[in-house]
This record gives sequence, C-alpha cells and structure tokens, in this order.
Amino acid sequence: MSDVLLKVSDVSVIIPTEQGTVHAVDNATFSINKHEVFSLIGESGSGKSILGQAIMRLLPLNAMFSGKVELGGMEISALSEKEMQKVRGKIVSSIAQNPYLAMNPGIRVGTQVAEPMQAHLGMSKEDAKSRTCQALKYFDIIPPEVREREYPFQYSGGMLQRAMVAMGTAANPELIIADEPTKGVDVLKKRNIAAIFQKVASKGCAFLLITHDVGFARAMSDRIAVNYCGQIIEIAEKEPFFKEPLHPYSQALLDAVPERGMHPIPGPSPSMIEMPEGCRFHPRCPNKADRCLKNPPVVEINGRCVRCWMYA
Amino acid sequence: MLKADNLHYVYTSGLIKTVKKTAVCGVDLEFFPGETVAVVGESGCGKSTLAKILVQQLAPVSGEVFFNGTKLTGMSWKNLRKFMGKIQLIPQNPDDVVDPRWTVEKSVAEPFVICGGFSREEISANVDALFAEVGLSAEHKTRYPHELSGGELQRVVIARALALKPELLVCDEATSMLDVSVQAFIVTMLKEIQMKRGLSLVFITHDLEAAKAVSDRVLVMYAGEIVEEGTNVFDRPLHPYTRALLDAARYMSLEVLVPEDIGELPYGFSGCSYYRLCRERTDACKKPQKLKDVSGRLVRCWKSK
Repeated sequence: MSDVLLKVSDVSVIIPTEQGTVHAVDNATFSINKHEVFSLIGESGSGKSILGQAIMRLLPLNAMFSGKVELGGMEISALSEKEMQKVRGKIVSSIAQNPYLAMNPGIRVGTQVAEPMQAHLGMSKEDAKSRTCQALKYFDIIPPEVREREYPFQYSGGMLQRAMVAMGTAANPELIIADEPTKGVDVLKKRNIAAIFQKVASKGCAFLLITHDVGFARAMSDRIAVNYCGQIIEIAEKEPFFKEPLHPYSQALLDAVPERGMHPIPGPSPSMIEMPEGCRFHPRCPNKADRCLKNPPVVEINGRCVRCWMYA
Repeated sequence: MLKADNLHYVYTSGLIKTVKKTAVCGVDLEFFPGETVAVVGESGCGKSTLAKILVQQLAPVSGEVFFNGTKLTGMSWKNLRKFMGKIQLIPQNPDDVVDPRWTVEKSVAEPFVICGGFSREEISANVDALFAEVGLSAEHKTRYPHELSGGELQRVVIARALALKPELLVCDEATSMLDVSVQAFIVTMLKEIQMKRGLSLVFITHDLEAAKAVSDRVLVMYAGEIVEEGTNVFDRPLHPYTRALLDAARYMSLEVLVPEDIGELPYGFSGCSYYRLCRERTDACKKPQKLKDVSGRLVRCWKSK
C-alpha cells in the first residue's frame, strides 16, 4: 500500500455549543491514493467541511479533535502548529468556497499567488514573480503581467477562482482539498472549473472534493464517499456507486437528483445535537427494522464500504 | 395570462463617463394559465432583470407588460397594488427578503396587513393555513429567520408569496443554492401547490436538468435575448448556444468550447449576439437575427431548420 497518500483513521470532531455538543465528524476512516480524485458528498450541515478543515488542521478553536491523519507516511495530526505551516500549501493545500473571502483584498493578486512559492520553495522574489505570471497564464488570466498587479476586487468571480487555483497549486502540492467549488455557479462556469481541476489533476495531483453537487462529483471523481450526519456511510468506486448505490441514504440522495425524477427524501434531517440512536438514517429509511436502533457495522462488499445492517 | 411586448432594459452607471449595459433586449413572451415555463441561461444573461420587470419591481426602458389584458407598465403605484399580489417573486436568497428581526409569522402576515381588510383572526387563520400548505409546523411560526435552515426559510418565503392567492409565481433561482434533496422537496411542493391552485410557474434557473424535469416549455436566454423557445428544447436543441449549454451541463467536452479566435466585435455590430463565441459562425451571421419559427419552435439562428 505504498500509493496511499492521505490516510484518515478514526477522526472525530466534537464542537461544544450552548445547546449541546455537536458530533460534527464521527469516526471518519478513509484513504486517498496518489493521483486520485476523491469526492465527499452529502447535504449541508453533514460535517463535510469540518472534516476538510480537520485534515488541514484549520478547525475552529473550540473544536475537539481526536484520531489520526497521515499524509505520505507523516502523521500530520501530531505535528506542532509551526511544523504544520510547512505542510500547509506545500504538500496539502485548500481551495475555499468563496474566493472573495479567501483572498486578502488589500494585497495584489500576484503577491498572494507568489506567497507559497516564496515560503515553501525558497524562491527569490523575481523568480516567484515570473513563475506567477506563468501560472496565471496557464489558467487563462490574460495578460498576466497586468493582472498580477491588480487587486482581487478588479477580478471577476471566475477569474478570482482561477487565481485561487493558481495559488493553491503554486508550490506543487500532492493533495488539494476543494470545499464546494461549484456552489451557486452556473453550468458554463462549472464546466470551466471541472476543466481546470482536470488540468491540475493530470499533473498528478490528488483531490479531495467536498461538494453537494452530485453531477459534478460524478464527472470528476474516481471514488465517492457519502456523508450523512457526520458519518461516512458509504465509500465506493464511481461507476458501481452510480449504477447501484448500496446504502438507503445514497439511493435516496441519487433519486433526488433532477435526472432521476427529483424525489425528495422523506422526513426532516435530524438535528446534529440530538442524533437518532443507532443508525442515524433510520427515521427516514424505507427499509428500517428493529436492528437499526443499534449502531450499524461498517461492511465491506467487493471493495466498497457501507454502514448499514442490510448488508451485515 | 401574462404577456410582455418588446421589453428592453438598460443599466446605466457612472456619473461623468456613463456606461450603459443592455440587460434585456427585445423580449416578447406570453405565459398561459396553469403552465410551467423554465427560463434558462448563464449568469448575467438578463434572467433576473427579466424577472424583476415581470413582477413590476423594475420599469422597463421600453416595452409593455400586460396581465390578463390590463397594461401594468406605466400604471400608478396605487392602481398597481391590486395586481401585486397576483404576480409574486420568489428570490434566490430567502435571507434577503425577510426581516431578520421579525418572527417568520409576522413576515408571512405582512401581505394581509399591507393589503388591508382582514381582521386579526382572519389573518392568523390564513397564516396557519399557509404554514400547513408549505409543510411547516406551528412551532416554526414563532422562530426568527436565523433559527431556520435554508430550505425551511425558502418555504416561509413561498408561504408569503402564496398569501394573496397569486396567479403567477416567478421563482428566480429559488433552489440553486439548496442541496439536492431540499431542492427536490421544494420543487415537488411547488408543483403540488400548482396542481391544487392552478397557478402558473416560471422557473428561472441555470440548472438545465432541473428545468427539464419541471417545465412544459423552455425559454433559452443569451445576452438579453431569447434565442430559443419551445417544448422539448433539450431533447433536440437547435440553437448553437443551447447545444453549448447542454454539453457543458453534461460535462461532455471539457476542452474549450469557443472558437480559436474570439476577436472583438466591430463597433456597432448588429448581427447575431452569439457571433463571437459560436463555432458554427459564417458571414451571414453578421446580419441581425430574428426569431424564426421551425416547426413550432422559435429559434434565433438563420441556420436552424
């Protein structure tokens, strides 16, 4: 198993709030291979983004983390903040949901894109600048010499997103975590994002895509994980997953997609504070039985993982 | 039922150096009772401006809007108020339209208060009925907008839009920020309400699959113009732009869709608005394009047959 890049084992994140404790991530275990595009899909509020932040060690201060994250054999969850800064941006980097919030509005775009190269690759200012121009040109930000001296507000949304990708890939990381890259973006721009991600992936970079856009995940990824209420309930290769999802929630989620007739999932999503006992999906599940009141085991079938009693 | 004639809208900005941007350019359309129409197009093609003109939030620069034969454009605000309840807009972001410091019950009751002529008991009974209609329980009534999830808040906005028994609901990207399951829920609910009340729905969206799933008729917009209109548009797209949109939605081709040399349009270019990006352009496309009837489908491309 030398080609495993990221290994997440038993990661849990607990966030105490005034109303009670939120188990945002519950025993997440998965691994991403080198050069692989791995998608984490699920509804808003299911703890997908928190899991991404946990890997980057960018959790809110009051969140409690437990478990182990290994990146290329190095246990990054045990690193000190100072050592982590050397990993962030160099080996693993993230692309945030809203580029206007993720860029510093008072610093020129070129300076921000050059920052990881200067910090991690030890480049001089001039070298970094010429590399920045190349990177901007690679992502169709033309003319790069003019554009790199501009500020984020002078960019359009799509251009700024491309500049973010340029920044994320500046130091040639091995893994990119992209959090909801297509939220509220129209089809043509979605296609452009898919195209630039594929451009980056073809250079051998692995991706963790955190998204609720099932169509985008389908177009991009090699493997899919489904998240529900903080738990990963199914991990499967793309083709078999879309052909025949195993977990009842995955089935319901795919049936809600417009191509499959937009059938809503019955019942409300549970509150993250008072989670149902046993299987967290059982109040909404069409196949529920008494055994569902106990915690379902994670079953492995043909290389797929599913957390459901039906397959135990 | 609702008819629009040759609508134009131009945004102007700047004081000294005035910049004009045409958002809607010569749109004619007609909606019939009980039908579901989808308006699709990329961001910035004028969909939302069109929606605002239809619900009389914006006055068009030129052109007219008729509702059941009555001309709405140019009408005084006082007379217009009678019609406002009949045409309602559901916006993309529900947070923008509910007062964050009011309970949602008060927000839903507001149309009755503005409209006048309802007693307190009638209003409360009507509000209860509306909450039940959109599937919200009584305990949701006393909450504030920040205490509701996006899907629940969108349902509150729909309840308020339904208050004055509208005949036309214009949903401007009403579901594009929501999850698939919530989106499916909202859309199914709207369709059920439509069946029950017999109202017309206009879905303005960039989600082509959703548009295909819900609508009877589709209008495709590009650069403020309607470039294609008809039924089964997505099964047999005729305009090159519709084809490009569909390819993008299915992630069919990830390479660049535009021609090698995009070029700038010459000043005063009056030909096809899609000329610059069209891969099938010829010199004949430099002439102005009119909507052409191709076996029941209207297409703004001279090539289509």
